[in-house]
Amino acid sequence: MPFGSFIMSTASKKGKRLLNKERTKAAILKVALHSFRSKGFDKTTTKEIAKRAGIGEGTLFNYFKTKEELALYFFEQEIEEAMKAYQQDRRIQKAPLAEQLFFVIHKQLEYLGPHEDFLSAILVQSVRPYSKLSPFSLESQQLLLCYLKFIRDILEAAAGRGEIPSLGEMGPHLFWFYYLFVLMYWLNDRSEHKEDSLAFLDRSLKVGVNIIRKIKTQGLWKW
Amino acid sequence: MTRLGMSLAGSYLGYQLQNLFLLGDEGGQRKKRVMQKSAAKMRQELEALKGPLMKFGQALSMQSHLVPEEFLQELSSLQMRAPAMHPSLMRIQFKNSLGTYPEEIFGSFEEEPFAAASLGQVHRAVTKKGQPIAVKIQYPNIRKAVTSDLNLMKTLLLPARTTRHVSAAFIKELEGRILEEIDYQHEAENIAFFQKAMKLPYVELPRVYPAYSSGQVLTMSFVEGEHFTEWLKTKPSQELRDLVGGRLFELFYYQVCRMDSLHADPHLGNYLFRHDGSLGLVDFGCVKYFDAQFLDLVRKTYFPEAEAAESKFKALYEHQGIPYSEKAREIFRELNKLYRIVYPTKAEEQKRLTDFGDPWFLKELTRLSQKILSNRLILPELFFYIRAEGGLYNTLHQLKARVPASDIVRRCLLN
Repeated sequence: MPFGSFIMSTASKKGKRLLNKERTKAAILKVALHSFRSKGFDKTTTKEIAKRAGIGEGTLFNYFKTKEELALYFFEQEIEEAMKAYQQDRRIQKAPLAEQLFFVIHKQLEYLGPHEDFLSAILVQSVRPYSKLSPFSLESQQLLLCYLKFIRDILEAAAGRGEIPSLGEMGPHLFWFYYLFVLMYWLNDRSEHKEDSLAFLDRSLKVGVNIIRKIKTQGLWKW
Repeated sequence: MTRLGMSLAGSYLGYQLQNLFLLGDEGGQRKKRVMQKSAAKMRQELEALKGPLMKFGQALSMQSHLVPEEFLQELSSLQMRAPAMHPSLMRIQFKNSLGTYPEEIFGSFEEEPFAAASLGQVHRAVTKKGQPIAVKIQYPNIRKAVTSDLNLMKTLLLPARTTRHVSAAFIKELEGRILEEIDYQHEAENIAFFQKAMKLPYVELPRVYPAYSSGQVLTMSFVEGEHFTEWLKTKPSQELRDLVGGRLFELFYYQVCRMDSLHADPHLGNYLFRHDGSLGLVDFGCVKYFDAQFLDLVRKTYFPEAEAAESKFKALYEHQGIPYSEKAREIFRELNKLYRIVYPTKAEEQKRLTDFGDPWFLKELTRLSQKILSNRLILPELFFYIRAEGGLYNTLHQLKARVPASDIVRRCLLN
């Protein structure tokens, strides 16, 4: 076999392995979420998850050592799905900032939608010390960095268009806090189709972007 | 913070107050003529309410002697707009209502709206069979926001009800009309009623597509025509203005005389004008269905014999079980003056043209209307009737139409 095609072959085999690994992780997650919905996060064991997934517990541990790692993977998918949807939508990439941010948050909430009960259990986990789900854990911070970079790119693009002033490094963090607030609001929302949350998200983003814009216009912007 | 956010989102008033931050940038607000500085301030305060609550404010200010006659014309022309939805939100609303995205059921669909509505916005589309349609989509959370603000208004108005500045029946009537507007299925029923009952050949009404409609999405056939300001720019001849004016006048009295109902939102935005003088009628969110007997009594006041005039009017109050006092007599006197200006009773004056463009005429109409509408003892049913009629006369004034008013009313009564 020529060396070049050996490299390509090795690379494509590696790529295939990675793809298969992702597919397996996604399949395990799907099964786990089903268990979390029916039994609750705390009462579901890794043994049960492995059994439902048709794999050995040892195999499961190769992918996820704990349920918390599964939960982290779930949030990783939440962010990836939102980012993918944004990157595939040419129209939204040219839309005004308020709509772009609405789109991103809504995609995240849409992903989380079927798993509200699971989320509530996760929140309880996240306040426990030493939990990987704690916002201060290295694992959570790594996930957050990816998200912050994505949001920073959107905000900087808006600044480049002159829509808002450049918000520097603080902008993405502020947006993250805002997202958490929206998430709390959404979790408490009992309206049909979560209409209250939709209206709140729409109005607050429009007002927020306009406030930032007006602050810039009035020369009060000092970041 | 969550509770603050909830109250912010839950209040329609909150939405409209936020518009102070938004409308200047979006450039969506209509500039109106301002007659006085204080009139502008009043208009701005009411406009901040927007939506159905503005109707409440309009009606209440007319009722509680707050409005000088110069403001009445401004008030009657105030138009109500919901917050605008960008395509991302609009698509979510559509899917939540009909279970699918617009592009999946229509041949084509324009994501940017072409018109605003009081509770949402309207989009152009084409069905898969090539029929042009208009799709009205409601803003999320409107029902809850309006209901919450109506409750707030009713609480705030308790003192006014105690002192009888505003009657409970009046508030109930207003509330009923506003709540009906929230449900697009109710509007669809109104359109179906008008389709069946209105047989004027020069009026085009929309047709509803029930399969693509729900409480928050209303799909209708697209009614062509220009809005009034665009149509006026084409400089229609006096002859065309008179023709259109006469038709608008007949449209009103046709409803009162034959349909016992009124398309009750009297502003120019609900009419579409064509170059051949035909009309399109849109927005059926607010239709008033009158008690047939009540309207029969109203019709008897149009051309009464002089000595029987007041007794016909008194019968309206007796029908509603309300004592006919000196205050009510005041209403009769002003109404009588109003109608004698619009359509005289004498047979020899039947063909006389009423010149709605006469500035004295509008000033007198405005003064009389305001006096009538601000009378505490005005019947709620009569309030809507006179408000709609006032809106018609205002439109005819802007049209500068000369109309054989007496002749038209007599024909409507005879048929």
